[in-house]
Amino acid sequence: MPVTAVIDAHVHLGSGFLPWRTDDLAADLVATSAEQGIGRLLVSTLGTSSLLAHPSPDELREANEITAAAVARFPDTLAGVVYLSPEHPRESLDELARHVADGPFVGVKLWIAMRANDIRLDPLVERMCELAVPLLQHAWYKTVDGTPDESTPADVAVLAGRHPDLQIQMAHLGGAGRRGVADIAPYPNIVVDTSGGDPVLGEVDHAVAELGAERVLFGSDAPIRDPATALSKVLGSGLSEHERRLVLRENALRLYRRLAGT
Amino acid sequence: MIDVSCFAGAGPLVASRWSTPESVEALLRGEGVTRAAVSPMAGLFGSEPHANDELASLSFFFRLVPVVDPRWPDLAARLDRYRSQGCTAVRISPGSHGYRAADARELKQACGALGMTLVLQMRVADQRNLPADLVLGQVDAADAVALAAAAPAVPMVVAGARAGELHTILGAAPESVLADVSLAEEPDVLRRAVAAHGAHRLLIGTHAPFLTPAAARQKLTAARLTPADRAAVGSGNAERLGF
Repeated sequence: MPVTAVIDAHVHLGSGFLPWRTDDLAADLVATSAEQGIGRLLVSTLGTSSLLAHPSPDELREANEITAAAVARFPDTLAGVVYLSPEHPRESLDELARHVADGPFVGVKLWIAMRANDIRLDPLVERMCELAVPLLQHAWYKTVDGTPDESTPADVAVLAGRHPDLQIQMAHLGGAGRRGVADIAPYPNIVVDTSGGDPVLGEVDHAVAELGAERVLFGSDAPIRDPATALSKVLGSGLSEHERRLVLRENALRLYRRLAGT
Repeated sequence: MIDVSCFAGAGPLVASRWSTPESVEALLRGEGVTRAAVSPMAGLFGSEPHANDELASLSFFFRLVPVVDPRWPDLAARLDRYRSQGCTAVRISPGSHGYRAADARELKQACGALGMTLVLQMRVADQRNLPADLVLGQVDAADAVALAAAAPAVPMVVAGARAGELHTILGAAPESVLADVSLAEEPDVLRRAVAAHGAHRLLIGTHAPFLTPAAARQKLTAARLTPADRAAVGSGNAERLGF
């Protein structure tokens, strides 16, 4: 696979994160990722001064403006994922129109404002299906440090069953674990990204064995995590070259069809 | 590359195919590790001395780092025995054994008297992902700093610190304290650690077979260190400590 061919499908921006090379977070993400052969980054901003679990409509707009500004500066590297909240359906639909229907963004991010199985997601999801735009949905099975409205893989499975036309990138294989992989296995409209926690030995191999290589894609969750270390989950696995290519690039291109045009 | 922190033996959280020293050695060699300091997996989850005996016959690839508990009544005799067997370090895991790291001050002094290094294991795994009934506590940075301040001339290795903890501990501890980057993660993690604390204070630990050792190789490669700094972090510092 040529240098810069890897696509990182799970990256964040926002002033809640400090840059580490310069005073420019987006530039640092682009530079650090490029050194690892990661040439495209799907970025979302979950808050302005900090990560916001329950953003107001204004905070959603401000967060997405940060993403839009960064994408405009690095159009060959960054692709935008719009942050929405089902707590504000009307304003979220406006953001979806602004950045996806009428803009260059390629996906939608839902975090921990509401569990993924909640029917209040439906108006947003129905519009995502009309636009054929995928959803990056947070999920984790946490023993400690969870929040009440945080989704589990089982919640994501319910959403996928209710909306079989919705394409879902479930975040955090590392947080899903074997139980989470089993939860989503029956739903072909869910793929899981490799982010979430430490580079646990065997985790990616297990997911590929259970779901198929077409349903696992690379995500780092940078700058919360280190792109190089995140890559080791795939590079240290026993996947074939063909499977690695799927996980590191091809699956993202297939899921995010708008990437080809950006 | 010398790995200062890996484990062997059966235990929860790791598939059985990676439980033997032979399988761990193959895993590590595949990522360019030429020598490894290994502790018994069972020593992390229990506090029984016989866990160290399970790794009595190891290949030349490994250096045994017994897991000890400062509360053992026969600790002094066991330390003497481990030293006479050629061990150059012992590991403590206060979080999983249920005591404060600072309670190991006298143990650290005893290690110094025997010319041994004390390895402090900060944690075993991400607490969020552990089964609810598997109690594995963690060491906090302040506790690690308190132990680091005791017997400051005695070499100590902090294993399994998160990135923020690593910066806090190395920033506050004497130069005799080094840290591995096995569980430390932030963008450019090793490059930033070397810039902040110097290459002479950092080590490669894989935390295998909990983690893929590819991560340690990736961290070292991604850091783009000078040849001298890379040699120090990758093997020189470990050799200096007798690993």
